[in-house]
Amino acid sequence: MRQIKHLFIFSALVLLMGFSFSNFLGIYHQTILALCGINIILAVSLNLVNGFTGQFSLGHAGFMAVGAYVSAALTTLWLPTLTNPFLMTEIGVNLFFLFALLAGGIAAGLTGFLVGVPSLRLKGDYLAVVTLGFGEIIRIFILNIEPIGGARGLIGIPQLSNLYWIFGFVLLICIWIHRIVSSIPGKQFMAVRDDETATSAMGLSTTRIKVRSFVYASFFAGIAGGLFAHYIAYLNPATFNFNYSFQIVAMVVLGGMGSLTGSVAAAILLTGLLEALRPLQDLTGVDLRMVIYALTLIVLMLTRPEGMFGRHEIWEFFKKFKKSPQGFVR
Amino acid sequence: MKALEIKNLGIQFGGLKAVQNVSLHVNEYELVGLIGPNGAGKTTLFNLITGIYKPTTGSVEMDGKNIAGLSSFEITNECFGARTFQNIRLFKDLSVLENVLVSSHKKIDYNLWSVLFDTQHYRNSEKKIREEAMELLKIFSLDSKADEIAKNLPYGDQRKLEIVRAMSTKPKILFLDEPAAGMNEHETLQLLNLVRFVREKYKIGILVIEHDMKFIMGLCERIYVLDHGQLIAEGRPEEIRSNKDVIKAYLGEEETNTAVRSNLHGR
Repeated sequence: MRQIKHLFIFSALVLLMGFSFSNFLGIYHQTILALCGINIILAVSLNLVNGFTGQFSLGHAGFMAVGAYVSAALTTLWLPTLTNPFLMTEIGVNLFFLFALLAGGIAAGLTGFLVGVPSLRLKGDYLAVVTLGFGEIIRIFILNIEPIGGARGLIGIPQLSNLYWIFGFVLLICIWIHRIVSSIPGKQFMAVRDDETATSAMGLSTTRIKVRSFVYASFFAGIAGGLFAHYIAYLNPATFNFNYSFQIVAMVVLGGMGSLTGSVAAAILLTGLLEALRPLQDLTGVDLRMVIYALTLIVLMLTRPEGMFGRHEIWEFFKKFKKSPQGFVR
Repeated sequence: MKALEIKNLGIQFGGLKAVQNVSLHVNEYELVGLIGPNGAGKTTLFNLITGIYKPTTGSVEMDGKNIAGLSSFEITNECFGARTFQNIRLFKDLSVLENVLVSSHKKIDYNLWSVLFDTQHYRNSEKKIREEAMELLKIFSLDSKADEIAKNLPYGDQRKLEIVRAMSTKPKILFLDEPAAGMNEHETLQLLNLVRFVREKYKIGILVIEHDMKFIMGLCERIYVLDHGQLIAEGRPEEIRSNKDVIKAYLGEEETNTAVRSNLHGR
């Protein structure tokens, strides 16, 4: 009963968001929103590893690439060869797209497992360097597969993704990750973050917990990759370079390690900021965007080193405001 | 059956023999102390027993099972040994209740899907586990602080929570590493009662490392003394108190002291 009610509210929200975004906004703003949505999924899922489990991963774009290429290969190379009449219909194509997204997610999750098992034995800086390396290996690997375009990139991807799909998944994945971190297995992630030795003294295999969190995060990144591929309709390995991984990390750190709503806010802020600053460039004639972007990061990190929301969710601030008349005191 | 049986245990770090040839045992429902001067190898011995270090010689049996080849978490699960740490290692950003919940992995009977789709089964099961954890907190009268963040607790309560958290794994033997460190006399007395209470309530064996002599003499039935990685004495508190070797290990030898003194004062 409760699930049916939730499903109803969920669908209503997705339809409302998708409808208003795609009808009241121009193509330019729609694209920015779509990228915001994809970045939200990436930031929120990376937060599971970097924020909640306390393992510093720097290769998230690599897992996104796996999901993007696997799903795009399915819809671009496999779908046209299928002759089932059902797949010609609108519903059929969309169902196939959902299947391709999930396949991409699972492929990314598997890659996450293969990368995670050997590398999650390392800690801190060492883990960061190893994941960075694996992210690059994945990119170079894709660069050398001719059938999916190699360095030229994959062209002719059907544009199946839209704002309904993207914000449907944004909502779903945020709810799912929130449910994971509120459950007891989610508390185990945080136990590993706070003290690994004590966690294993509690009878828990820390490696297993870390790999689990890594696989979940990779799966969601793979979904984000699939949504991205079918929105832009073109894939190039260069997109998924170290720079993109780093941007996602910046969103997580800026929003607050261990705050889902913080990641959402930071993803919107950082994606939107660069676009919002475009008029300034027309005005001054100099590209000040990156300067302001960098300054924003520096100022925010100096004033709030624990991130915008720290380890709190946005609703916790309201609760504390209500409780104490002086306002929220940390 | 003995709760813990250690035979000829030893570990070597390069040329340093941190623990050598230690044999000791703890019976079921027995309170045993382990004392020794700084650097005697007490914590190293604990780390050997709980699988953080691998011994170079000898064997450890807990609950009748040899711990050789088991990692730290397997020892907790299969040999039912739990420990606390010298410098408190709580999950400091989790609440008191969540600190205890972390170890309830054996009770989890739902899978990822039921978490993602928030099924009734998941809710019931999670509720039941939480209630059981609350009951454990109530036994140690920490239930009123269940929602407080662990790092905000007063020092004495943090030490207490660490013991409660270790008890949540349902151990048959408990290892306490300097539980009274940094406590004042009043807190130490409360801790003394707590440890006694744990032993009476759960009928388990307990091995305590402690520097506070008053604490250990008042608490333990049997005491082992470790110095330079070797056992130098074993016995009841009053025996240990008058043991020559123990006094020598703690205070040094009379002759050396005189020699040092005369050296300092010149000819």
